[in-house]
Amino acid sequence: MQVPIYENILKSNDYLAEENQDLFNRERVFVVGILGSPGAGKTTLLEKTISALKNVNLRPAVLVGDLATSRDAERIQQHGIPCAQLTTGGACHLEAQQVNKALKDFDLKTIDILFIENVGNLVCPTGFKLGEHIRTVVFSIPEGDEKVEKYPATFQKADCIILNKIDYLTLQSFDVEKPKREAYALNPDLVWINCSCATGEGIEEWINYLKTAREKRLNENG
Amino acid sequence: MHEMSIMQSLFKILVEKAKAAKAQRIRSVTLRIGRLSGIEADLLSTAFQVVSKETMAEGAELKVVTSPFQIKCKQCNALFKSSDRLLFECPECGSKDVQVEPDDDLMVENMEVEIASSDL
Ligand SMILES: Nc1nc2c(ncn2[C@@H]2O[C@H](COP(=O)(O)OP(=O)(O)O)[C@@H](O)[C@H]2O)c(=O)[nH]1
Ligand SMILES: [Mg+2]
Ligand SMILES: [Zn+2]
Repeated sequence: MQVPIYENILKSNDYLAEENQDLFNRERVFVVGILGSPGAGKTTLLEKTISALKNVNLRPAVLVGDLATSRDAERIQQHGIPCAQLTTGGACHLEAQQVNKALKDFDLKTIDILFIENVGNLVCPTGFKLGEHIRTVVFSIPEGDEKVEKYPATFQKADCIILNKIDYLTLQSFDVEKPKREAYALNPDLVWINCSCATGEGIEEWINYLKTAREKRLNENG
Repeated sequence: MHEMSIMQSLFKILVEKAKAAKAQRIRSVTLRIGRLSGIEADLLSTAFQVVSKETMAEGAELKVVTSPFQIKCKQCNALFKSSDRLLFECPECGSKDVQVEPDDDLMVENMEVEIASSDL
């Protein structure tokens, strides 16, 4: 006998992600998911972002997912902001339920923007919503200009793409227009930012993007 | 391997539906996996075999339906498909100004089950 089902396989994760987002909305916390390969510069970007956000009177917090170590969390904690670490014990991505548990480590009332740094991986986290309002994918010049072509699923779901380490452009042949064009073919509503955490290029643009996206979201939620 | 986690989610749904249908055994399961879902269809069958061991789905066949990438040229409006590599260039007019259909389906469509004759 055939049993029709027609259900989204990840519906239980989607449901928990929605619950997370309801909680964020109630507490007026804007949540940004950060994805990217190991070494792309996710944690470095967050460190730069923390300082810049403090200057515009927004209170950041960070939840870091990592396979085993707490090195990233230690780096963030030096900036004196709320930070929690989720070690996945080898799992290649975060899931909504883990994020929900980790939220108990935060006082959401004292946070304006929460960043969730996912496990360094361009494939596995893609299908797992966490409750974030926007997703940012960080990739960097040394990784080569074929990243978007190779991992279209991840880039298609990015609201913002940070092409980091743009300071390496002088050292390496890299066609910036290629991945950019491909990313817009996957998602025409995308925001693309060339960035260098070494020189500070693009950081202001990124902060402005975050501010605008956050205000838009807060207005939508009333 | 996130395919494992996806298979576990799938199994929760299958077991629930199988119980509701009073099924004794699951013979086959059909999934629809979009090209932009981030899932490797090939890896799913291995994960399925592992997760289905000693369950009512042990030995069941996993059928995975995928569609080719669908791309539209914004210059000449041509629609084209590609089943292996994602093309970012229109084969009709050569334009690189294209739009890719965001097919990220991750669906379980149906399953084939056996029901004990006494329950029929
Ligand atoms: N030259 C240069 N190095 C960078 C930049 N951003 C990050 N890095 C370096 O790249 C390495 C990996 O960065 P990290 O933030 O740990 O990457 P993550 O694994 O994505 O969190 C570190 O040594 C950083 O100092 C950049 O914009 N330019
Ligand atoms: Mg990091
Ligand atoms: Zn064309």
